[in-house]
Formats: sequence, structure tokens, C-alpha cells
Amino acid sequence: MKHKNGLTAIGYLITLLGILVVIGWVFNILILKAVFPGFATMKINTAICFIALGVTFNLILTGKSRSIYLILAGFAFLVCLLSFLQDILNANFGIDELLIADNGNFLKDSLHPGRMAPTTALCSFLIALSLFILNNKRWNIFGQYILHFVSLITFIAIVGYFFSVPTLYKLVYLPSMAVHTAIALFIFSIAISMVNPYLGITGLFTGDRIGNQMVRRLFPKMIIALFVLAFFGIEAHRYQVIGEEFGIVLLALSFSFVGLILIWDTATLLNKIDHKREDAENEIRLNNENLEKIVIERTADLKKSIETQEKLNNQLLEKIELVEQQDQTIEKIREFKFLADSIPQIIWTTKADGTVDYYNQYWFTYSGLTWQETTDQGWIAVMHPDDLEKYLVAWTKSFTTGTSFESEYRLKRGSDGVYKWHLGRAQPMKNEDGQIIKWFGSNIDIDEYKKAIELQKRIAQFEDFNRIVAHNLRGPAGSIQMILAMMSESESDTEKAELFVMLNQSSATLNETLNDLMKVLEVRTNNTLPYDNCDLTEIVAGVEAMLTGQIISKSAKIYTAFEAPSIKFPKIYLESIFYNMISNSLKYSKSDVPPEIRITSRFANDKVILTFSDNGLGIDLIMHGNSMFKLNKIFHRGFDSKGVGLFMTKTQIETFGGNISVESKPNIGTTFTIEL
Amino acid sequence: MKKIAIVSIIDDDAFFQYATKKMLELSNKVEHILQFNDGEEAIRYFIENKDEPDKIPDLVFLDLNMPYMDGWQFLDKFIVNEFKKDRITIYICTSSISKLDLEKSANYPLLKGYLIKPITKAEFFEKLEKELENDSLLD
Repeated sequence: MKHKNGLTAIGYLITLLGILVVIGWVFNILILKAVFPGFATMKINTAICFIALGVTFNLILTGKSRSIYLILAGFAFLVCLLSFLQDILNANFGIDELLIADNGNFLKDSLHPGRMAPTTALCSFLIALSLFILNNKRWNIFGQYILHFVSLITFIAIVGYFFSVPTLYKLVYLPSMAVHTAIALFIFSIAISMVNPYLGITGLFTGDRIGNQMVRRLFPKMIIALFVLAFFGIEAHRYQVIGEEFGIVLLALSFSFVGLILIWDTATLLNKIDHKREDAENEIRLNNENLEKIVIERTADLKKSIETQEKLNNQLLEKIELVEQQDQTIEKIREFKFLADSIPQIIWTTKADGTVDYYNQYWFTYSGLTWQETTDQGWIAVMHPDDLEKYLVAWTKSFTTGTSFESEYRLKRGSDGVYKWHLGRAQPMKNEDGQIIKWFGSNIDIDEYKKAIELQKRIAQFEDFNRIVAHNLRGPAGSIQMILAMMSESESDTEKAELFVMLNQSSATLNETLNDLMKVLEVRTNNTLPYDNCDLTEIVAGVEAMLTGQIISKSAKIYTAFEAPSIKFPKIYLESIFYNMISNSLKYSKSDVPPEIRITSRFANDKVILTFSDNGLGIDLIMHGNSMFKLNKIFHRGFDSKGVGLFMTKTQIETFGGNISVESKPNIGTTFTIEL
Repeated sequence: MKKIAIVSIIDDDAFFQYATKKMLELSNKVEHILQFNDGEEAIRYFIENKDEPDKIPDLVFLDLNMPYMDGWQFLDKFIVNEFKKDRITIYICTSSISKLDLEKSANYPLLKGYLIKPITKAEFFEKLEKELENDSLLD
């Protein structure tokens, strides 16, 4: 509740006033009873009711002792109502001087001494009534207007005192309300109406709106101004300074003037408030605009900073990735080195320019060299001198063409000086643009493998030899034995003659086979024969010369394409190989198609691959594949074949470290591939 | 006296053919002698007459080492064909004393025996006798 303390004080004042007036009556103190001599007194009943109502009000404000205040208010209500009824009904209930006799009442118009004025009684019981319904939500508006009515009546009484117009405080025939009663009731009624400040007219004064402010400001001043002007007007009129009519006009004029000033003042205030409001609004708008601007700016800033942050983040991520990549690269290099060092084979790498920049541990273990000894072509000392040239040719070729390198060579073992065969291989590592940035190489020890191959070859040769002895030598030899046995048993001369012919044949066969065998052995024992630098074109020309007759009669064509122009091989054997290949192609050609023989050569790592292709009869490899290069095997009947040529060719090739293989389809042609 | 209907000699050695034929004739136990110089000729004859039991040899002397189609190849083709004949006896006749060949012959269960040249008259006669014995057992 607003102004609770003030209201409580008014409650106490009312109570105090009642007590003072009771004291006045008890001790007969006039000033307490009537304030001014000759004025109406506040009756003792009124004073007691004031005490009851004041206490009631304070009790209501504190919200305590509901039963007590109901009794007190009820008491005041009854006393006042009875007093009022006495006046209306013109009766005497004997309550007026029940306590103290009103001897001091000298007023002529007071018919009933000690009786409170009817207006006082009315106002008091109305106040009591309003107190009953003060906190009743449904009826308090009614109570409010009762209070306003009390305020109005007491105001009139006060005005009457103020302007000394008894009619106003006396209400013609009735005893007048005492001045302090009127003031007290006026204040009290207003105070009680303040308990419900938003109800009735009180609401007009107590609100927070600008209108309420205006009312609060303007109304009291107007009243005061009007009263002051009216007071002077009346006084002037009483002292005959001005006439009545002039007084009224003057009042009207002066009030207009004062009213204007008051309104001016109020308007100024209102304008000020309006300005303030406008300023505040402007400020708010400005603030809003600023705020918007700030928001936009801040948003832009924020966006910028987010972008910057993102950029930074991305850069950071890139850097992290880069670092991770580097880490991975380092890790990979470590892994590679660990792996390479753990392999019991030689691993090496070179830079793009071919200089060695890495050897694994095994290289140092094997060669017995240090890094200082092995760099700058220190490895040359390790390689077998006979293999160096072949190696350099192959490496130079790979290095210049950027193709993979493969070569076989012997490397000297540091611990005992023994040369061991190695298979060297290297692959170029290229960057995204296809440029070689590194070579990765390995030297695998193939000494055992080579020995095994050599052994296998020897076994195969031995088997061949065994077969030749078993079949080709023992056959005719056995026949001769049988023939001789039969001859000795035979009694017929004709039979003996027949047997003799056969003896000759078998003997010739035996002789031939022995010769072939001798040739084979010759080749094999010639395995230390020096390698010649054989010009392939020259060799083909020589063979062509030997076979001119057949070439012309069969209209044969020989085409050559020598990528590798020359081969290192014993010349007599290479000539023999070419002779056998070409003569076979001429011999086993289709009768109705002129033979076309194509001879090619190409490099393959440190070897040369020769191919001989023809468009001849072809060979049924399903049937003869296993016996292609065996002695006395033939693949075409009716050609007076001996089955020696391919056998010899193979012997010659294999003796000098080469290989021969065949591909063929009957009636299409045959291709022999020779690797030397 | 009972005789073997057809004996075949598959061999590229002219003397072996001559000598074997002589011996077979001398034995007087063979009705017909069928001679082939190469495995391929022989197998062609066998396949051509596979449904005629009277033309398919009862006893075969097969050489291993022949220039065009050897004895092994002949056997490989022989075993994948069906012949309308209850029994065809095949002997290897080879000059090979190689263990490899002997071991390889074990892969062909149909072979009756492995004869190493030179083959004596007595050996041939023994094989002929055996063939006739088996023949009569079947009867």
C-alpha cells in the first residue's frame, strides 16, 4: 500500500484528536473542545467515535485484530447512526449527555446540548460503514464514493469556516460541525480512500499517468488560488471596498489570469515532459539506429573475423597436413631404411643424376667397403671386370631411356674375394610430371640359383646324352650284334646277303650318330671359345649365300629388323644357328606359298632377343612340344629329316648361356625365340 | 596247332623289323605279321579298325624311340581309344637301358613287358608261348 506510514499517522492523529477532545471535555478545556471560542464544539460522543474509528483504521492498516476493529467500528457506527436518527426522527435517545453534560454550549441554535451535529453524525457513521467494506472487493467502490461524499460535506464545512459563511457549516437549521471535526473528517475520509487509491476520484489523483500528474499539480493550486482570490473578494466586499458584482467579476477576471498562469505552468511542465519523452524516444530511436548500425558493423566484423579465423584454421590444417606428410615421409624413409637394412640382399638408391646416395647395410657387409670407399663409383672395384662393360651398356640404356634396368653380374665378396652372381634390378621413381627423381635398385644374390640352373642344364644335357646313348647308339649297335648273330646262324646265302646289307646300314647309322655326338661334345668342350662381336646383317648375308639355290627356287623372302645390330657370341656357332633356322624355314615351307622369313633382334636388359618367324607348315606342339629339340626327332614326314639341326642349335645356344623356345601353329607358321 | 592271329611290329629300325619278322615266321606260331615304321602309322591303323576285332593285332612289339611319333605318344593315343577286342598284349621293345624309360613304362599298366634290344630268339618265342597260353586260358 502506498503512503502506508502517512495513513497510519493520520489514523493516530484522529485517535489523538479524539483523546484530546475527551480530555477537553473531562477537564473542560474549551480550546480542545472548539478550537476557537464561540465556534461549535466537538462533542464527547464524536471524540469517542473518533478514537474508535482511528484505532479501527490503524488496525485495518496493520491487518490485525479483525474482531476488535469490527466491535469498535460497529460501536462508532451505532452511536453516530443513533445520533443522526435523533435528528431525523426528532427524538432523544438520551445518548448525547450520557457521559458528560454539555454545559458550555452557549449557542442559541443548539437545541440539544451535547448532541453531535447531524452532519458530523452522518459523516462519522458513513466513515464507519466505509471502514466495514474497505477490504471488500465487491463493495469497496461503493465505500469509496461514500468517502468522497464525506469529503465533499466536510469540505463545504471547512470552506464555510474559511470564508466565515455559517450557512455552509451549519446546514441552515442544524447544529454546526466543529471546525476541527470538519478538518479531521475531511482528512480522514481522504486518508481512508487512499487505501484503495485507484478507485473513484482518488484514482484521479494517485495514478502515475501524465493526466494524474496534471491533476495532482493543477488541482490544489487552482483550489488554493480560487480560495485566496475568493477570500480577498469576500473580505473586500465585507469591508465595502468593492461592490458585490464587481467582486464577482474581479474574481472571474483574476481567476482567469491565475488560471492562465497555472495552466501555462502546467503546460510548460507537460511540454517539458513531452520533450523529455520525445528526447527519450529520439534517444531510443537513435540508440536503436545505432544499435542496428552497431549490429550490422559487429556482424560484419564478426563475419570478417570468422573468415579470418577460417583462413587461419585452413592454413593451420594445411600446415598440420604438411607436417604430417613430412612426418610420414620421414617415417617412411625410416621404415624403408629399416626394411632395406633387414634384407640380406644389396639395396641401393641413386639420385636423378645416377650418383649413388644410399646403400643398405648388407652392401657394406658384403663388399667390406665403407661409405667413403664405395661412393664416387667405388663399386666398380667390386664388380667382375668381365661383366662391367655389359653392365654399363645396360645401365646407360636404362638411365637414358628411363626404363627399368636388369642385368646379371658378379660381385666380389669382401670377406674372401669370391665373385658371386647377382641379379641387378633398378626402377626409376618418377614425380607427378613424369620426371625421374630417384632410382631404386637391388642386387639379389643368384649365385646358388645360377649354379642350380647350371646343374639343371647339365642334368638335362646328361639326360640328353643318356638318351642318345640309350637309343641312338645302342640301337644300331644292338642291331649289328643281332645281325652278326643271325649271319653266323644263317645257312642261306641270300639271307646272308640281305643281312650284310643291313649290317652296312646299321653301321652307317651308328657312324652318323657317333659323328653327331662328336659334334655336340665338340660344342660343349668349346664353351670357353671367345665371344666375337657378330654383325647380324653380315651373318644373314653369309647364310643367304649358302642357301641361294633354295631361296631362288622357292622365291623365298628374308626380312630383317635388327634393333640390336650385333651380338656377342662365338661366330661359328651363331652362323650355324642362323643357318639351321633359315634352312628349316625354307625346308618346311608350304609348297604353294613362297616362304617369308622374318628375323628380328632387340635388347632386353643385358641380353639380346633374336626371333625367327616363318609362314611355313608349322609344328603340332601338342604332339611334339616335348621333343622339339631332341636328337633324331622329326615333326614332318617325308622331308628326309634327320632330327639333328634343332638339337645342335639348342646345344650351341645353351652352351653359351642362351635359351631357345618355340611357338608354332600348324599351317600358319613357326617362331623361334632365342635369348643370347 | 594254335596260332596267334595278328602280331604287330612298330619300329623305325629296318633291321629290327627284318629280324623280328624272320623269327616270328620261324616260330610258326603267328598267322599274320603287321609292320609299322612309326607310331603314327600304327595308331592310325588301330583307330581305323577299332570296331573290327579280326584286324586288330593280338600282340604288339612297340619301339620307344621313333622319329615322328614315339612309343609313348602311341600309348597315350592308344589308351584313350576303345577297341573291340578283349585283349591286346603290348611289349615295349627298346634299345634304351635308361632307368627313366623303365620307370616311365610303369605308368602304363596295360604294358605286358619291357624288352631291351637286342632281343634273342628265345625271348621272342617265350613271349609267343605266353601269349598262346593266356589265349587258351581265356577260351
